[in-house]
Amino acid sequence: MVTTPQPIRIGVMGTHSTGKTTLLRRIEMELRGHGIPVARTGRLGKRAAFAGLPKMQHHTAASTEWVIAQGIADEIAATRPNPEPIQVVLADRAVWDALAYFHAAEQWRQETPDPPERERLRLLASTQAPKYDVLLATVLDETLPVENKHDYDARYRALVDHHTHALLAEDEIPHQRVTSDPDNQARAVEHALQLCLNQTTA
Amino acid sequence: MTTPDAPLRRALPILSTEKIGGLKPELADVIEYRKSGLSLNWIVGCPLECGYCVRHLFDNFEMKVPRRLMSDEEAVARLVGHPYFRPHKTPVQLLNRATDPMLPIVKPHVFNVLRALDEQGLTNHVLIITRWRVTPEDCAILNSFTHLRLTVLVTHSNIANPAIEPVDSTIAARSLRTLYEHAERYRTVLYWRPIVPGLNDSTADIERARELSRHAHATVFTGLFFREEIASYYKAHGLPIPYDETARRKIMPEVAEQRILDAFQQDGTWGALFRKTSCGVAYAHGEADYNGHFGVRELCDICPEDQIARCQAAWVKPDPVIVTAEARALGATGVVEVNDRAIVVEGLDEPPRYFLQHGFGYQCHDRTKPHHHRRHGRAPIGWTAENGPTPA
Repeated sequence: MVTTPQPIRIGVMGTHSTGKTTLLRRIEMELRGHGIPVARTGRLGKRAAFAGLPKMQHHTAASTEWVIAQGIADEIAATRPNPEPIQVVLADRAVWDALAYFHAAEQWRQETPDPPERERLRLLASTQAPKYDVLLATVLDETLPVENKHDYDARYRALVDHHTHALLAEDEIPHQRVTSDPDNQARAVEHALQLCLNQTTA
Repeated sequence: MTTPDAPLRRALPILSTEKIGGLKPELADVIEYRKSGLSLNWIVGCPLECGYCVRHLFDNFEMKVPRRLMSDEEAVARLVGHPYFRPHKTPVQLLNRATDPMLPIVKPHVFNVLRALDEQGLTNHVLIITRWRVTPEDCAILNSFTHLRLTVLVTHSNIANPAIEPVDSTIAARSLRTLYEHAERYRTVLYWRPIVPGLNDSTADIERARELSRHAHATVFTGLFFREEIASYYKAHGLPIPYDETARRKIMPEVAEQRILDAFQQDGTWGALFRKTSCGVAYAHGEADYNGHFGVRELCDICPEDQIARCQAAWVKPDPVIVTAEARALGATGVVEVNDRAIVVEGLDEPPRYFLQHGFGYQCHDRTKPHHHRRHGRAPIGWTAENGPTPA
């Protein structure tokens, strides 16, 4: 049987308005400029809200599970040829991202975590670990202004950032930190690009 | 970012006949005669997503990965075999409507076509327009062509809204500097466009252009094509709508032009500035404009004096008998007029008009689409005063 090679998967996670989508769009542009068909997932938060689920500091175990499961499904769906075989999938919010948001929401609400429930969700996310070839984690820079259209709770945003990096450290998940420094961002884009160029054909 | 090309990447795939059949016919037709030259577009698809891109007009904006429509050899054969192609005379443009010629997967094919044209000993002007990265290695290749009159125009808008301009303008700025620094046989032009009032015509934007103009053999500034398809894209994506109306020609409001000209005239440190692409290209090569813009005298008020003299010397009113014979052979109906500004015809589409224009080095206008005084090639939007005659 002839097997189709799995696309390279690049995930990004991090708290809101830290440049995740911009970073993936830059990688997407570079890859396409090299003739490589790419698919990018996204808009998970908006779709969860559209499904009537709580978001941001109101996240629950159920909404978290929905986001993880939908993210997994999206990333699988993104591998379908469109119209050519997709060689790289860019996952805007890798699965652990939802966990970080949930942990932050619990802390923001000053709730005592339910360890079995947390563990169940963590297990669900961890099943996806082998699928990511590159994981980028953006780092919050609180000195940068946020666009007026976003009415964020600053404490929650910082908590998500904290839990993002705590989770990655605790579970020893290989990743690359991406700060607000343009040179650092350029290196992240280049790292992703080189990996893809070395493993794909145009 | 300095991204080296990965070795041994294969050539850009050629789309199947079936897929080419699914493209808009105008896009599948690889040769189009435009004002700046006979345009060869054998590669389509672009990841750069510039909101104002003319790819919207070809229903091709969603094709993000470049693909070829034919081999490089066939593209060259189509170009030089085109009935409107004249060796050493017809200006040529490569890939100026459906992709960026300097994308890593595209540029080897651009170089192949340039090499093939150069090896035929052709001296035609060839224009390449990019906003992507150009490296010193690319410059070495561009310098290696010994016959072609090659110009690389670098589009730089300085538009900061990433939804309209996803490509960081610093990429183009760096490319321009690299091109200028390494130029030996080719020339490079700062293509300052699209200028949109309120979006990228601030004092800081103009200062940025002045600074970049020092790193180019010429600078050309132009407005925005705001056709229906582009307006629809802006609306669908919630982008700020620059104008209430759309137009066939580029929109360059009088106020915006005046702000730029005031800055240009008050500061002697600008590089040479032009309103028309061919004027800038010709100046960069030390030649008279090949579009005969000298006939539209008010366009020349910002040109360097030596360039005006050069254009004036080359600008010869053609014999009406010869013009009429050529125009008739191309299908012109009605009276063929040769006035002090232009040849004026009826019944000819743009390609045969440009064929006449480039052949005679004299403007060729359609009687039904008059160019108004001080608004040559521009939409009426942003111009309220009728400052002078409105010859056909």
